[in-house]
Amino acid sequence: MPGDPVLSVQGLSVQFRIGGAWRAATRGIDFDLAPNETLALVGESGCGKSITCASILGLLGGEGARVEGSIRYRGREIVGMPESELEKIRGKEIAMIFQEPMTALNPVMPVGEQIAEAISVHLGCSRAEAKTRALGFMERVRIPAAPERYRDYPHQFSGGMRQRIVIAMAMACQPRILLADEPTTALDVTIQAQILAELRDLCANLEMSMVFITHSLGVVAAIADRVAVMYAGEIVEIAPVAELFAAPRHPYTQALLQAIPRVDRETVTLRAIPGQVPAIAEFGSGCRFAPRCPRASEACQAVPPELAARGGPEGHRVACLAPAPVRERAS
Amino acid sequence: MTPPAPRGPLLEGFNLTKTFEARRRMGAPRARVHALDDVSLTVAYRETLGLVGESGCGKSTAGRTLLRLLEPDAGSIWFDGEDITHAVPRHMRALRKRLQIIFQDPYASLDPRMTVYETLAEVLRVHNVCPRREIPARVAELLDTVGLPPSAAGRYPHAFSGGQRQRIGIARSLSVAPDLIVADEAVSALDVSIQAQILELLARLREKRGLSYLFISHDLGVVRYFCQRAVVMYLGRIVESGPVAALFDAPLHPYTRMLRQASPVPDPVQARATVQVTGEVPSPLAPPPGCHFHPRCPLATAICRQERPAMRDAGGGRLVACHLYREEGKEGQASFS
Amino acid sequence: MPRPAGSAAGRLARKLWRIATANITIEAGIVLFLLVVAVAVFAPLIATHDPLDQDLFERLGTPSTEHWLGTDSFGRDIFSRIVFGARISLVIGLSAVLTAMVVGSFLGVLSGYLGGWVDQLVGQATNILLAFPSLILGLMVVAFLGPSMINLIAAIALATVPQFVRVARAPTVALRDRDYIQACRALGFSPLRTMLRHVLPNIWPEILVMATLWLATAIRVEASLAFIGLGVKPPTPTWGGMIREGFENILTSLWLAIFPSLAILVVVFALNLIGDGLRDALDPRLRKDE
Repeated sequence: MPGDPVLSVQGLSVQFRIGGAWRAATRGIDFDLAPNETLALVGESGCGKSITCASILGLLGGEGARVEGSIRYRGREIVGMPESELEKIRGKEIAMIFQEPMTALNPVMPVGEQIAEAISVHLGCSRAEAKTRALGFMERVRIPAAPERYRDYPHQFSGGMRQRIVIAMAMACQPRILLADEPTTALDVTIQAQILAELRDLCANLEMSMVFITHSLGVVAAIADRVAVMYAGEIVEIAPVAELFAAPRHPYTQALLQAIPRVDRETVTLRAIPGQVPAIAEFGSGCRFAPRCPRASEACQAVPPELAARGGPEGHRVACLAPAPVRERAS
Repeated sequence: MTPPAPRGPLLEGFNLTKTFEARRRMGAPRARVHALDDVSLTVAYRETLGLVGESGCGKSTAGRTLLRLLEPDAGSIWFDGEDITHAVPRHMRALRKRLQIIFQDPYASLDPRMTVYETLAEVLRVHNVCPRREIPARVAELLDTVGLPPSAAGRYPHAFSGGQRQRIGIARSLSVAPDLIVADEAVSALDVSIQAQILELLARLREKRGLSYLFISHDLGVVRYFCQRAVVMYLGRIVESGPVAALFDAPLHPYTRMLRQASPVPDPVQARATVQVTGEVPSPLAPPPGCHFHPRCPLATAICRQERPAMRDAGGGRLVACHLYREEGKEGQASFS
Repeated sequence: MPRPAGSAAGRLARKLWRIATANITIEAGIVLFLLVVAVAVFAPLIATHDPLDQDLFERLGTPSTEHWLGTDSFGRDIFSRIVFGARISLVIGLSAVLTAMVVGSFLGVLSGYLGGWVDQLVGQATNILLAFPSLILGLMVVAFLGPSMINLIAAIALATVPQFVRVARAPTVALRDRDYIQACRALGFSPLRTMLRHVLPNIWPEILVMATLWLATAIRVEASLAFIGLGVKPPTPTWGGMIREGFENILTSLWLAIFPSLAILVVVFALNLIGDGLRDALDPRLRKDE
């Protein structure tokens, strides 16, 4: 990807105080986000993808949480940034959308006004201008009959339309980065497909980068340019999307792909991954996937493997001592 | 009980209709939601039938109505050759030993105040499945069957992970040795790796115990993998049914095709192909006339807006309710898929 | 095979104990209430005089070392009458509320779980009863049946039943559509078993909170009825009756009305402490702190 990264995360570790001890929910998270790029963070529940996302916005901190490492937004360090500075970045430079749009909307305020409010707060323009812009964004996210629906309340919209409104609100200030935390998980597949297509268009047209968090590799395939697969608080593999699906190298990525029953072809045997994701308190010192890994050796139990190219192309890094050999890319 | 015939219907619903009264706003007229509108389906002995559709299509209502957890407004339900539409509560309770259900959220379906042992033992006691002194052994056996350690017995549901809870729910259903289990989005809330484990367990039980399933799911991939046949519902009606491979590889109904195209596939090339997915499911309070799907259908014609399409036999065990099917004929299939 | 952990009732008791000892408000309330109960139980030991003993030479006496809280217009010892009066208040209050709790919770769960015409019937009856303030309802019943202990209990119970119907019905309706109650039906459990074993244990805490709060009300209503002369017949000492008698001499002997009023205040205060404390402790986290 060309250009300096808009976001650069290095050695990010988020710790929580659990029962008197500090436990690391994520460990050594490294990734860059290039301009106009969509990076997907994918993993199962408890893998730390949402925590990573929240720490980018500086939403973690205070008593029970500790953030270490570095998150740089266009060269500015976010970790340790004072709240007043963060507020200038949130919404305007980095916007966020969530799984449940209702939580992001004020139930007693017409949706159009909510979008207009976001615009006037961040851009400081007049009411009339804010309204015009708000309507523009409502149309842009394909809310039918936007002018008539400007004064409708959130409960009068379907789940899919509400998510569009939240996206319009996030877009309204033309942020450079959109953080999307499972925005389509609560939606039906036909709505999900439309929202994903619209997010792709918006990112391309508005020259925006996106970090897209999801548990679904199917959704990743539809939205991402690059993918970071997370497991138990760590990135285990990061690669361009085509590369990851065609030639996964980490045993966990491989196992995940084999565990998905596919609608487009016959799945003769589904390979379940034995065991379950360890709880934070059970994290070992070595590779955290080792207890479930068919290729694990004694060395894997000892030290955490680093995320590195390991014989593959530089853009495809894997945190495994015994990664699958680099293959010719299948068609 | 007569030994099950190798094939033939086990659970059948004929022309089932179920409406719910919608919550009324002040002054608004009384409105009814047609959750099921003339739905007929059959689960054969040892068959796994998938029931797919988006939220609000009535698939869950169909499952619960077939088990008579909800009473149909019209239509009839037959189980193992017996009309159970009006079976008296006492008889129905006995039949429940043979007809079971597992729910999407296993936590919500387990009494939070009972240990796993109490939960399982209660069912065994109520149905006199075994002599009282054998209950502890039976519970241990059930836990083993679903892959839980014996130590699970003394713990409460909240102490388990999602996958383990679903195992408890399955153990409870198995405790009465059912012939058929309705699985209502049973793996939808689980992570992929756990989902695969539970599917594996359900498949093993199917083989060992000759179970039939009515497998309700919104995930076409899971249905294609786990089921032999599937039924697609849209706004309370069945639009298409047939063997899974044919159904999803060459859908006959435009809605099935849309659903299929919108389903995420872990393949970037396919996932980004331009898809024709438009619109939203209309309010079930005011479904469109004629074919319910016509406002979203790229091929809709005048007749689609007026007349409800009849269910037609498309050969190869397939049924489709689309006005355009006959005109398109066999060649039409190619243009559909 | 690990042993299943205790009975449901035992678990509830342990949980309540945990909550009770964790919250200072509830603790204070319980201590205060137990004190009143102890006074009622050991009344003969605590009382300094026979509560019925008249001494016409000692009428309307001020508090003294002989009569700690003074004497009434018949020269009876007020302290001893208050001590014995606690028995009447508690017996009537507890009996009435227990009756109302059992009947009301059962009807509430029944109507919430079964719905349909049962729900309609119970709902309408409840609404009619709720339309009357409990004092007026008690008044009508006692006026109709005559003031005896049993009638008083019945009257107060009748006035309190709808409260329990309401508090039991609402959560039952919410539970009915929960999957695990649906699961009970799917497993072929009878409605009675489902209600008793699966619904009731889950709504217990709310009922208990209601019971403590309404026990306070019941004691107040009993006193009010006694005050307007529809209580247990004199000369049996009751707090409400004593206030009524005290009222006749309010201008000369203020304490006659004040001391029994204080007794009522203490009991009501103690019960409200317990009820409010329990409500706060149980309400938001009912599901979580299992």
